[in-house]
Amino acid sequence: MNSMEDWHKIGSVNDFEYNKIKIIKIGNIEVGVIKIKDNQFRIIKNSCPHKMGPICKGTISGTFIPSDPGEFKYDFEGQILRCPWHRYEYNLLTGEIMFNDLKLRLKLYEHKIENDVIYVKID
Amino acid sequence: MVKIIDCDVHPYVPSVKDLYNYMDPAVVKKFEIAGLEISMGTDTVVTRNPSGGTIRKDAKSREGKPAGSYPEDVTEDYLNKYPIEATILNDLSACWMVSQSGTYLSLKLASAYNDYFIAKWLDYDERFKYAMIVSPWDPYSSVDEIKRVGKEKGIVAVQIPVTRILVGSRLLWPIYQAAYEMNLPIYFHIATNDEYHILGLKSESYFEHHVNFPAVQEVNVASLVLSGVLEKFPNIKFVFAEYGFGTMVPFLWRFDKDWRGCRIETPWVKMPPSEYVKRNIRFTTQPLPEPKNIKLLAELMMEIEDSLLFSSDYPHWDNDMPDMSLQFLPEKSRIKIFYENAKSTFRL
Repeated sequence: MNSMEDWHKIGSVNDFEYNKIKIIKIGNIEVGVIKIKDNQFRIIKNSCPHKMGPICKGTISGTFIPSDPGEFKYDFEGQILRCPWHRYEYNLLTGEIMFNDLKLRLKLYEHKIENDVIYVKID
Repeated sequence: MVKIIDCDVHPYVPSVKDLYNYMDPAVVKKFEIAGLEISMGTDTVVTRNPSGGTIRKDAKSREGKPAGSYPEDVTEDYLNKYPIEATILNDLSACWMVSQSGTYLSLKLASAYNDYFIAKWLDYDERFKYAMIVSPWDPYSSVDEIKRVGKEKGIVAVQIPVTRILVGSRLLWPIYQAAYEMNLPIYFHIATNDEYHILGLKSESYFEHHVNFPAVQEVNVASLVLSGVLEKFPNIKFVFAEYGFGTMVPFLWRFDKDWRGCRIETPWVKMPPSEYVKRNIRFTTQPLPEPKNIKLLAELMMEIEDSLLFSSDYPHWDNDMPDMSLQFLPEKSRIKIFYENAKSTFRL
């Protein structure tokens, strides 16, 4: 596992709490590791595609979905990552930006879990 | 020249006595005993135009009354000189009087002004169209007023004086609902000085007052979008007259950017604000900016060309006469701005 194109071990499943981002450095690249639900993980580049803000230092929550005037409807609990810089929201399941006219997407890294050990592939 | 719909022409009621035929006798007595006369905010406070008022000295007038006091004069002095198919009349003294009166008198004045213009102007020449005035202080009575005269031929919009209440306020939604049911757009014209309280400002001069019109417009455009009015009433057009459109495009850039980061506070704003503005809001062109590089202005206008409505502001000092306006634009754009956009905005 010397090449950056190889799989990198980043820990075991139980090393991570749900909905908390752990920032790990692999070579020169910072990634955020997030256990979202049912032992599912997302591993994202710590760089918002908008202005390269440290998105993994942002908050995870739900969001207010489009509603009628005066109504607040909350959804996507635990699936939204909000950048600390400009507060753009991304869907952690898909990486897609939410309710925004800019077509941006988080950089999600491919990963696999073998015997409760998580590996990420940095391309 | 292309056909013209002029979206901002100012008539005047020569004297409050001309309104008496359209008031209850007891209300007439109130005016007589108090010695009340029609007035304009800009003529009674420090913000009077420094060159002797806002009306052109050359515009046709008679009997010492302001130009614009008689339909015969406006027809001869303006309408007949250009290929004008329609003009949107709005009386700024009505705006001032209705907005500055107490609620009950405000309602009676609005009705009197509406009846006066229907009787004296709309019957005189079919090119005259009128933005009926309503009081912002009692929306339910204003709904009744819209039902009373809104169907009259020649009524093409509902004018609401802009006050310190932002125009997205739910206080005004009943008026919007009534206008929607009559297929009438809402018309706002800078007029009352009261609207400056929105900004917490007291202007030191007419100059300062005049140059800051766009700021009043910006807070109210933001209010329309963020309040959800444009979601609630997606088919109503809101016209901002004489506030200036020159700063609107960069304002919309900022507005869209803020929406991307603050959207969760107003989740009913489902699209970028600029899309609502382009769909629902119209801006009159006068006073046209006059940059030294006219190409910059043309490019900026192209960004919102479907939202722009030609206006002359006759008979005011800073008028834009049709033959001296918009010649730097391609013909297709001129046709839109001089005619087509207004045709699809007002109930014409």
